[in-house]
Amino acid sequence: MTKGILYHEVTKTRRVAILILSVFVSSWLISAVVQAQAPVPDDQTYRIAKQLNCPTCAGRNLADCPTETCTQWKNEIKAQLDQGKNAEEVLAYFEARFGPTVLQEPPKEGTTAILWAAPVGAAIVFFGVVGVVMWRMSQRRSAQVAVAAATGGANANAHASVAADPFVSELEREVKDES
Amino acid sequence: MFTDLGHLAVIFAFAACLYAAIISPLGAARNDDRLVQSGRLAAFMTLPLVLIGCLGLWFALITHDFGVQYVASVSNLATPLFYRITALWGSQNGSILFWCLIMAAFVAAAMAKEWKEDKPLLPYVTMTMALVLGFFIFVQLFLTNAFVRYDFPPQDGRGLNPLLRHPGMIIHPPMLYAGYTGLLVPFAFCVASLLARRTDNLWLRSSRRWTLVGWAFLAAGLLLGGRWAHDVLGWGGYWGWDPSENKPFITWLIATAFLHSAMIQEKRGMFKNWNVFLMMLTFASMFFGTAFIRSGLLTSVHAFAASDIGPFFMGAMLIILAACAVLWLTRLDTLKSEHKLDSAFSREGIFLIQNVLFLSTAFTVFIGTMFPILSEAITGQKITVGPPYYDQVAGPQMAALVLLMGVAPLLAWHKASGQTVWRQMIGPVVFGVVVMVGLFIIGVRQALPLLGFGLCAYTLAQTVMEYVRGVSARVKSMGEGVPTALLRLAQKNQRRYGGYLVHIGVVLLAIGAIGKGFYGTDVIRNVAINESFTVGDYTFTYRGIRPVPCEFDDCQTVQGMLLITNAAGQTIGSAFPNRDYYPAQEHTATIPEITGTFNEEVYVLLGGWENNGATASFQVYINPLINWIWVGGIVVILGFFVAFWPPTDREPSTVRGPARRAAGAPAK
Repeated sequence: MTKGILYHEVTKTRRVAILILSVFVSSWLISAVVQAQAPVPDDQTYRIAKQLNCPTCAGRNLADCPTETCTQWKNEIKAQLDQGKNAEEVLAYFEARFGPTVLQEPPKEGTTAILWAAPVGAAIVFFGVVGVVMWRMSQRRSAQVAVAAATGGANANAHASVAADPFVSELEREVKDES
Repeated sequence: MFTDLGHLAVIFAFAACLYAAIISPLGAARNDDRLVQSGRLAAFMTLPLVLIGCLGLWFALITHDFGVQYVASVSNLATPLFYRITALWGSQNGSILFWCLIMAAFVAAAMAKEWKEDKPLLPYVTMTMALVLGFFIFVQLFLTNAFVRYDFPPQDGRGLNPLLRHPGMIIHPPMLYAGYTGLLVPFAFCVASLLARRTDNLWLRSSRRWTLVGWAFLAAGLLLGGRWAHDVLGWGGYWGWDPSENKPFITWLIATAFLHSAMIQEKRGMFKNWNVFLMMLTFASMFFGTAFIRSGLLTSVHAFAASDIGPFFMGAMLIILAACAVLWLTRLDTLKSEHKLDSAFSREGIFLIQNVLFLSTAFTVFIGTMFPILSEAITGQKITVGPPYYDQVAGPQMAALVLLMGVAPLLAWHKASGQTVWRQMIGPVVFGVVVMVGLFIIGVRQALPLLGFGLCAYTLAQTVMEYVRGVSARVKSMGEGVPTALLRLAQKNQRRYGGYLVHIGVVLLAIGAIGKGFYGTDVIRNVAINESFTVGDYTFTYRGIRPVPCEFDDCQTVQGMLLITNAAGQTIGSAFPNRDYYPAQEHTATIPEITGTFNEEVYVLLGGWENNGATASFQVYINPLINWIWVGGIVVILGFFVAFWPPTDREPSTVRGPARRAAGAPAK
């Protein structure tokens, strides 16, 4: 019998719990529907926003950033488009107002030119150094070969004629079961 | 109670590091093996000690001990058990403790290994590792202590950062940590070889497998991070050139260069100083990246909040750089090459070019990541370097690396013959051209992706040919069947054929990147109920929004409903992207619906809505070939396993193939 009473109590508490839960859930759902009703940019605004940096969340573009400042910027873009400006004019407006750093793609002039030039310069320097090192190393080598040839070496020719295809013979040698 | 015990254990771990760092070189100086072994044991003991520390913090997390500040900052009563466990690395302080745990695991593994001919290096390896681990434990204890308690414990915690509630995010940080800390082992061997003046190949032989482990963990961490960004961050892509991704990527690039140039030293005894330099650079980049991400100097979607550990890390960084430079320069004379470069047109020559390309790519990523900070410091201008920069500057360099992958394996060591190389090349070149013509016919008309796909096809064919040539050579010379030959081939040359498998994976990755990069489209559309919009071949019809239960107790989810039809008007599916709102953190997560086919992913985000869903906006990405990236990533990891799997043959692994030939033993 105690089981019955307990059961009854459980269902009663359960009803209360369900009530509380449904209050919670519905208030959640309502607030969830209310929140995040940020005005939505249209497609052209979005295209332009993609080419601008978000002023608040660094490292992201304006289009993907949901903050309030970004929304204001997007509204500004939309307002300018509605005034009949085209994409270039809108971008030019933002560049004139906030400087070139507002653009997703840093301009290849001014301070940011360094950014574009540095990797190219580094690559040139790296390859230059490696080229010089290789050239010097092979110079030393050819000097050695010249000496070897002078001191009497028909060996080189004999060596070359051993295998018709050095690549394949090398490979066969390497893959051969050595055990 | 347990938590305070954990705190105590970490303090002991710090003491153990100090002891090991002092006693080991002392043992070496006095030539007293007992001291060396004592230091070794002390360094080993850091693992159980730090583990007790982590268990202590885990205990606090699991039991909702909000008296511990860290627990209150990363969890609350609603946090499920699974995420309470992973909250250990959910924020700065705990993650440094967790970092110490993984690093201690590598230290203990290195200490526990069998020390044979590399025994002279032991005291210095112990010392280097104990110093680096000690540094991080010091940071944990004195700057970012995770065990600090509140005077008055709060009733409930703040909850885990919603962004971190994803399986990818759960595995991604430990993977990256393992990658970073794993590279401590080869670095310690490298430093030890210089300190012990054993500048032969000893350190490379002992540490090359460790490098591979760190490298593979980094690769896996980067891939999982990409997957996480794709699934949770709503990036629409897999890679955003975010500083927190760039730093490990830089380290990965340098480590890859090292893995290749280490081969030159092993086979030819050349470029020893270069390898030492690369290993030091790998470690420095790892340390630098950690410092920057953790000090909050870089702003990024998932860097840690600003903190005052920056100057401390920078100071340590300078000391490490100075120590490495001094060590390297004073040992330069002993790091001479054993051989001269026979020809630039050789395997070693092309490896050198490839090394330079890896470094210049790493430098490009580095300068792009650092430029905003430099620019702000010098001119006060806040600059963001976006993906267009990396795509234009790093992109071509990476394409060149793909080309080298297709050429380098053909060049013989010493000196390659142009004729032989060309004969091997012609087939794959024809294949690449055929693929390009085929793609042109089916409508790929842009020059760059056409070239890119052709290049990938060539390199893929060339790499597959490596297997074909190897197998047929075995079939011919050993009379084996094809499957046996393939298996034996990989068994006998694990590193080579594992490496080629990695190459194949990278080519697949490149194909995915080209597809997504050049043919990915995305639009954002605002639609009313039952209104349709078209993207590519797909038509999306808006059917309304609805609230759905959220996976977590502390969030509210609204789901958008879209019907997808194809060009012929047939229904091919539906999309239900979510927006999760976390009131406590005031955070909104856009969880995409990912559908479509293997070759063309359809990625739908719910942007927002008005008037209770009368209109809503959706962001739709069409991502062609993006799935090739995940497949390529899996192949890369498989390749690692082939290369790393413990050798099964009877010969001892140290005198296999190449080394034996170098030692002059004839092949039977």
